[in-house]
Amino acid sequence: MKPLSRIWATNRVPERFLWNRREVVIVRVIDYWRDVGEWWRNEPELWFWRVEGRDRGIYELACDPQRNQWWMYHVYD
Amino acid sequence: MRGAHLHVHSAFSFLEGAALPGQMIEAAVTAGIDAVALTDSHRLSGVVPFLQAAEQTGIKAIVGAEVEVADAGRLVLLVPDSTAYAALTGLLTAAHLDSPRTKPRVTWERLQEFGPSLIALSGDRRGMLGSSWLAGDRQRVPELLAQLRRIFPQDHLYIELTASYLPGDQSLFRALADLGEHTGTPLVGTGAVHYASKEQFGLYDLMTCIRTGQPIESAGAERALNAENYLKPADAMRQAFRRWPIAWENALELGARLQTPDILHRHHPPLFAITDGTTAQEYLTRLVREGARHRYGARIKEVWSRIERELAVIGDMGFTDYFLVVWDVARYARERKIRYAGRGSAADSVVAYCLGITDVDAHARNLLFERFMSRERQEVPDIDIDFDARYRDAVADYVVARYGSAHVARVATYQTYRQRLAVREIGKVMGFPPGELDALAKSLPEAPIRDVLARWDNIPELRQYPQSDRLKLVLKWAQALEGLPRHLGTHVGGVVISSDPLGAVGVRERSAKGVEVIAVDKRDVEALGLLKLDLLSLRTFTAVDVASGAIRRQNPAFSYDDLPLEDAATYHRLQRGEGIGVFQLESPAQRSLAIRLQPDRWEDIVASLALIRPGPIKGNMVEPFIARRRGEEPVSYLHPDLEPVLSKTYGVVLFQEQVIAIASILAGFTPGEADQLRRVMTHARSPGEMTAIGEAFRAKAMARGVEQNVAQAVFQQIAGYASYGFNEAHAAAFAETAYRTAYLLEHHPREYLLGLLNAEPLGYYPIDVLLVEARRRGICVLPVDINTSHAEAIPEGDDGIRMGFQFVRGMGAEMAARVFRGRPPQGYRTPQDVGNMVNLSLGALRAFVEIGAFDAQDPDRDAWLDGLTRHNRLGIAGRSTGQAWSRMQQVAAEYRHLGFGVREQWMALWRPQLEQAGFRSIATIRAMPAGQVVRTVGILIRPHRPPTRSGQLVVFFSLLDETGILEARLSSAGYQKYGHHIFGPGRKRYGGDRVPRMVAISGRTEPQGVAVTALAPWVPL
Repeated sequence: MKPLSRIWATNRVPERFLWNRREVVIVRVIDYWRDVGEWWRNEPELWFWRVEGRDRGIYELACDPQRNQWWMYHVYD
Repeated sequence: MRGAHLHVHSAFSFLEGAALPGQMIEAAVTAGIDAVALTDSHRLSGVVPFLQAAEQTGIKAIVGAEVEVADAGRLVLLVPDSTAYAALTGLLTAAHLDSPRTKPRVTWERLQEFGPSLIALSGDRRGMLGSSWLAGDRQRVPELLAQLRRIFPQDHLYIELTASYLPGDQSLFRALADLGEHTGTPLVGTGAVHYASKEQFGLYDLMTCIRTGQPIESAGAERALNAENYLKPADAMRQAFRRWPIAWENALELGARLQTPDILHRHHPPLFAITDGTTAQEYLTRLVREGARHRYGARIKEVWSRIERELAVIGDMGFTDYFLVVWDVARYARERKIRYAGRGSAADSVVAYCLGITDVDAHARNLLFERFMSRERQEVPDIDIDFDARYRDAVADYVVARYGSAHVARVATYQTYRQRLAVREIGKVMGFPPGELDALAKSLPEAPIRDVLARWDNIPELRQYPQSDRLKLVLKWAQALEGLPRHLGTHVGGVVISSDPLGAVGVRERSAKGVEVIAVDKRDVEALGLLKLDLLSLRTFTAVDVASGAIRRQNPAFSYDDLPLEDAATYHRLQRGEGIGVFQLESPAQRSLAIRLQPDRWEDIVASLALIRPGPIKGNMVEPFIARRRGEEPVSYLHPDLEPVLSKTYGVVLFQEQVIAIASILAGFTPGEADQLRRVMTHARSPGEMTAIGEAFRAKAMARGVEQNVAQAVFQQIAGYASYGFNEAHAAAFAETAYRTAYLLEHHPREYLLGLLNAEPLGYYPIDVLLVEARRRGICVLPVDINTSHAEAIPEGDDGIRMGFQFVRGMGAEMAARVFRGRPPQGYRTPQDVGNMVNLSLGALRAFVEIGAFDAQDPDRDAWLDGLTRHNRLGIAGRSTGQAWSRMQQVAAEYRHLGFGVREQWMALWRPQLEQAGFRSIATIRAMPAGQVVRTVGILIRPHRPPTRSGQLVVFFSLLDETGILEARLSSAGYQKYGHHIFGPGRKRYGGDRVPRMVAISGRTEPQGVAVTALAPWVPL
């Protein structure tokens, strides 16, 4: 997971983000889910978003809602 | 309607839900939800507490269940109104009875039969539509929906979307929504709730691991990915369904449309069929009159007005048929000479006495009927009857045959997670080795986990664990699990009988024992309007029956029921603290009380049974009672009006009936109101509640001229007592058996011990203790002999008891009986004979040889064992030396295979060694005056740490050697120092055998035993 340097979101719903120094505008949320990970090791709950960018790329973003931290989880070529 | 949760599992889904129904209702109140449907898996077992909690909070309660439809997946079913309730109970009953136990399934045929009046939701990802779609079988999804649409009418079927935030939800919802639109089936949004709050997710996940048998570290299909199955507030639900708002709107509409079934306020009494045209009340009156003539003879006139009053209450409250049914059950037992006795508050009733249900004369004892039944209380009476354990099932079978299997069911009871089991199961899934967990579980004091965690550093046997942080984590989660229901069990004797078919009242299923039960907890059957009768089994009656039979063989005129009730020798035995084996009077606390109280009359026994209870002990009433009874302290009363009530207990409040009478006399409560007061006191949870009752009591008493300080003092006395007290009726009922068994022990020790042995397991002490007592009384205990023994123990000679086959561990009564019945007239010659004739395992044959069952033929046990192993394909070289076994080998083998020593007790082996080391025998110590410093060694028996009000842990245990038993007390400081030797892991091994745990103690003698000052494990050299 790579931290995202910049992301714009409303009510934690992502709208656009900076990736490889480019701004990617989200045109569609394909799926979203939540994951508690290994909670017994105190891992935080993460929220995931699979989105389609205007650049036709498919990205999976992860967010720690408690700390409002965002990461790039996966990029589909 | 602000919010409706229509798919909610509670802990009654057994490891599929982490919150009790009441917690779900509380969560709904907090979350702004107006309607909740309880949809536990295949059960309605949580419905009573759910409806009661909802009634208190104003939440609309909807009843339902989630079911597995055969080969299709799950379906959520909801009850739309009272009339449809029976359809759901019928369907669930069929699911349980038509399927293998623990795997209930609903067939399509049954769904067609019971389903149309119910509301169906298609379920979550385990639901029939979701599971097929996710499994890739997408063309089956519309087929299944079509099948459901053929069963459920248009407005009875919904496609369910769940607010679970799982990957793939969006495409699944889209597909289901398309299907709904195409077929005209509405959507409904649910939370698929399995816990009340997000914080409970960890517990739910651990429960899933327990259920599926996997460690927490491993991934599994059934593990939840996230913590979203909590009871979400309305806003969160709306947010979750923002793309499908109609789903949530439909949930609200459905929540508003469905009605709470009216099942808590109905009555389903039994019906006692009378053919001669008289009414049930007339018939009952006739039976009671006949019984009263038998019980009271010419004195019937003095008791008849009370009987009429009792009959009127019974009739007015609608319990006439119930009493007739109970009379009928008692009559059945009496006619078949099955020993029985009514116990509990039923013995407060003269009617029950006249009907032969109880043996306590409530009139002569002036017992309060209102403790048992009252118009004010409007609660159903509870009658408990003890039967000889061997015949209890026969009595239960009679009830089923007489009243019809559709109208009779055994009552279930929900086994909840107890402290040790919770620790074991949580620890296992958290990856602790079983051995370590076992040791930890065994080391835990008998207290809620919360208290154990709070006092961790003061518990010596826990301090010894190196990984205390990890263990504390196990305990933290185990604490959350403790008290939640685990599985359905059968209540020991509860039976419900109704004139209505029980299938319409509750779900019937098969318990682990194969018995059909109504799957409602024993505490909840009453709320469903059912009347329960407790048919309990009492092994002491078995012992009494066996003993009586043996005595009658020598003295045919002997009658247990006609024993003299003022036998001085019997009382002397109790006064010496020698009541081991006596019903209810054998515990160390009771024997110690007897030494101090010196009972010499019937009432002393009744009082003894009530004295050793938390109420009198914590209320500091034991010592004043003893002092007053012995005339060492004057008898006084807080108010002169209390004298008639308290004179029989020397001014001390000892019985619940006295609490009721005091409230009536001093504060003018009606008897029914006074019993209500007692019950409120019993269940009062908060100091505020208690203060309010106290004020009411004081105000009423002062209005009748009682001084304030007196009213206050009386209230203090009864308040401290009421919650833990015994009722006199129960004490009197038990006193009958206590006295009579003491009489048998005194005058017929061999026959009574024979009875006890054959009724095992029963009583406070293990067989090893009983046999030490037996030898002390001059009884000759004879070993198992393959050609002399029976399955059970038998009398032999003038003073002998020959042990039977059934005492061999793992043998079981049935196999033991086969060995006895299969014995040829000339006897078994070799172990192989037994093996061939009754198909006994090699292990069992070895056990017979090792305990000396073939010694009469040849005492060379090694030779017998060699003979047996030659029959084994892995046979090894013979080890026979032509010698008989050593004394130590023989006794060790007895402890290994029987758990007790037959020829002698284990400690006798070491007596010379012990004497040399300056350890005294227990008999020697018992004969010493108080205040002597002594050292002894014995087998540790029943150590326990009773909870005390101060929180200080004191340990009580007994020590056993071949000369007797000694009570020992270890102070709180001593417990800190030596506790790990008593409760810590580890029995010692000696010569390859696990042997009883022996400890050496030093201490100071006290009147009832020893105060221990030092303790250490003891191992023979």
